[in-house]
Amino acid sequence: MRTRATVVALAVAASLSAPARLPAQRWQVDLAGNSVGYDTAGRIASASIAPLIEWNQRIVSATLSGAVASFESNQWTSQGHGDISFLFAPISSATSFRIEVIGSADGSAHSSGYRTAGTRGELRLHWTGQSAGLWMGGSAATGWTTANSGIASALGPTAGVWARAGGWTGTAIWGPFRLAGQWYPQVEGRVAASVGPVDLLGSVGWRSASSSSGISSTSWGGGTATVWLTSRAAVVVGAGDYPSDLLQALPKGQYVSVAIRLARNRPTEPGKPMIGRTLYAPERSQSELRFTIPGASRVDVVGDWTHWQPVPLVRTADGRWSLVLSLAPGVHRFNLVVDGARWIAPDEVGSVDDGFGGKISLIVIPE
Amino acid sequence: MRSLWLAALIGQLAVPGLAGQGNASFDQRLDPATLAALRPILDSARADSLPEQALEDKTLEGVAKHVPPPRIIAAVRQLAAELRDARGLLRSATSDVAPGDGEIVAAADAHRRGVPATEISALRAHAPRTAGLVVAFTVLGDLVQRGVPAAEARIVIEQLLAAGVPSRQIAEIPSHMDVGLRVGAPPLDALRSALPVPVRPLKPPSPPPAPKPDRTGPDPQP
Repeated sequence: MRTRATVVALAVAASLSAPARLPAQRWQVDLAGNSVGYDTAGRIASASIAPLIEWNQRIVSATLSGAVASFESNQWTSQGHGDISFLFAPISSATSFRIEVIGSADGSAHSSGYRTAGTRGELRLHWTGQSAGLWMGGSAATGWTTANSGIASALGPTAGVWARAGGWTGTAIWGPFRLAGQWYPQVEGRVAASVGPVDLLGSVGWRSASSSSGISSTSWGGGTATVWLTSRAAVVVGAGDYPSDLLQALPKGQYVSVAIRLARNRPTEPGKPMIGRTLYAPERSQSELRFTIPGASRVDVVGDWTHWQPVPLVRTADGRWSLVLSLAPGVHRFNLVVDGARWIAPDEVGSVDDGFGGKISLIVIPE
Repeated sequence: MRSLWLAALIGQLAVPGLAGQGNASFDQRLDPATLAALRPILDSARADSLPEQALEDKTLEGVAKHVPPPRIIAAVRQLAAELRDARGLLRSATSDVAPGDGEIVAAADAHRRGVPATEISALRAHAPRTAGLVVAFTVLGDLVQRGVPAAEARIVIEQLLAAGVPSRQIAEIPSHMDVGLRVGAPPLDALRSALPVPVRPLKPPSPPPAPKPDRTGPDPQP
């Protein structure tokens, strides 16, 4: 078989930008030490444990999370949260548009006997492009506390826009709501990025309130850095403040937190495809495969064209791993080896059972 | 431009260099007992004109993954059986086209990915005789893994091949289909929106009517 040098540009992860869903469960547990300052109760130090389970399917995703915190004088507080999202493409020929139905419920309990509960529902029409998207819709929420006899409810429109560039994702959300006869304009901005082994998340927000409401306008902001020590363990450092919850009558607070996170795996970037596809290298002048492998300090490719010997990939400036290919026509097989020990078939690429209890990736070069 | 020439040169130099290691390298990387156990399988495959390279690759893959020799031998034996089955499917579909090694391997992969044997032979039987099917079988496996019924996936690929759509465009269908899947479209809708040219309506063929014990009456209306 005559070998042809084909050099093809394939940016596997970069070209996929819409928020994706992987058909896999994820779990994590944070063991944290916290210092929280409330406007109404001063500063409190606490230790907490916070588990999270995430379940994703193609059109449905759900999350269950909770936290139990213990602080001085044998006091404790607990919180729980659950949400579920459904995605639909209303027009089969225009799959860039989707309808999103989102529901959530949460509650909290305190050793003093104080309890709260809340629900929220949102309906969106979301347009997703290659590197940006926007949505609009409406939301409804309820809240209840042991301190109030009734159930508070709020309604309002929502709209948002997001964009991705170079591994950074920015999101802006407009979500005013009407509660007890008063409008509360609210905007929030978020930025997320993965830089090597570090996941960064920052947010700022502002909520306005009229003087007749008796509630002050407020702003908030904070940041979290998650440093992955291995693919399953990370140190999470966060600080900032959050707004009061008007529906559940929870006070505004300022926090500093340091946690050890144990997880099934590092969360997948939102741009990754849900199903691996067989890589295909057309006859062009350059072939480059790029993979996003969180937490890796070294990645080798081992395949039939390397005679099953490891060949190192090159780390690019954006933290991904690059491999330039020169392959003969046919079906080729390969794995990536992370840190010299972990054999993987990357999610971006189609794979088959390798006959040894694992998976092996495929790449096709046409005749 | 100079870098492209350099890349091409490196490619032309590097791969023949590796290929030149040939069976000597293969033998050196196996312990004598494993090699002795594998030799009959490989010799049989060579005598039977099966893709021997695929079997050697499976062996070296197992060695690289530090798989115990008995499992390597079992996997190679299993792969030889799969390749033989795949070639049988292709030969039974058409007697005037000898399947190439790449097609046999791709057909075996497709079968392993969930494509029924009947669809593999049907694709070979209905595809243009001159069409190479390495990409077609691989994409068929991709589509079935994405939830497209195998019969419909095969019909779509047949139509694209018949329409002369280049294999490069056919191979891009799965990634285009993912755009639809990511936003919740059903697999068939996502496939329809990913096709480079229109095809006939994506409906599975009606099953043949059950044989009736008494055929004396008129045929039923379709």
